[in-house]
Amino acid sequence: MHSVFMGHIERLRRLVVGMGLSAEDGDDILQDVYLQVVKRPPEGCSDSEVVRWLIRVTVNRCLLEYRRRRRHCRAARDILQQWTELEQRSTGPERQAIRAEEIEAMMECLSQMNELLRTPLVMKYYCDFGSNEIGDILGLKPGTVRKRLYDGRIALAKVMMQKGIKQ
Amino acid sequence: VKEQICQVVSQEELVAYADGDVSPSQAERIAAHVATCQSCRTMLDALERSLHVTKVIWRTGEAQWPKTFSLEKPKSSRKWLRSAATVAASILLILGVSVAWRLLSKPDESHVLDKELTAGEINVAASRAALAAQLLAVADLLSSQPGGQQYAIKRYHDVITSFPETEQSTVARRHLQSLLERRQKQ
Repeated sequence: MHSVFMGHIERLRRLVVGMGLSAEDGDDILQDVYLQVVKRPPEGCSDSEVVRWLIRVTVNRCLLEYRRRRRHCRAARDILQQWTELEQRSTGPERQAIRAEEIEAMMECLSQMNELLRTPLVMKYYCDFGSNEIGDILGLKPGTVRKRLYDGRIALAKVMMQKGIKQ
Repeated sequence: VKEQICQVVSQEELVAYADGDVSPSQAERIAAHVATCQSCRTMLDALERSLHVTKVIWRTGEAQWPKTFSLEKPKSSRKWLRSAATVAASILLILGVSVAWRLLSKPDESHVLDKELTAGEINVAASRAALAAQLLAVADLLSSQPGGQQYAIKRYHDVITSFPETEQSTVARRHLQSLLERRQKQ
């Protein structure tokens, strides 16, 4: 069970971050999830079923924590700074201002987005799960997952369009 | 009902196209249309840009995380404070219940322990209580048998003198007294 957990730690982290929680909270959450794995491991399940259970437990734990906070844990300016550092090249002040606006707009949209849409969005576009896998984990039909993914994508795109922001 | 801006390509198709989830022939058709349709191009740009920025938000969050996961990592101060508050509340609750219990039950002062028992002491006490109970049961059995009362009296005395700290000692005293009264009447 320990090896299954450690084998999927990167995906679990992505899930936590994608759900709008900080690394600090994430470590607490993953420790809680690990304790659940150790104390109450699912019995008689195949490895893939254990992984699905693990993801489901983590998603539920993240939702619980996020509902408590009701906001993203990070500041837009920090994200902007890291974005520039990740690209390893400087951008002009005008470009930086546009990016800051884009980040704030997307963060606000993600914060206000219903968790029914946000969860599959994070799982597909950040954790690389397929629609069928997401359906298995969240107990949804593949068609429902696709609909929610579509709605989530359109919600983000519309906010971006409203801002009139160009690439 | 899904919103439809363009009559030629649906938003659903645009999302699938942006995600690369369309067949090559579909992709070719959509690409040709987008090149000439302003509303579809704007929507496609927004779909791609919004996802790109969102992934940046996610990626930068992940970058803040230490590379290794430690189960021994100390909890944050906020968590620590929460835990401390929980422990303090629990202690207060236990103390409150304990005080209330003592006030309501008014226990015999002789039963109040001066100090906390060790596991060894608890084991000894339990063994002695078990022996006393066994001896008491034998005495009760003898007292009900014809000609057994004399032996029962001796066993009751054994319980009372050998295990004076046990509950069985009190019971033995009561049973002995009752037995003696019965004998006097006879």
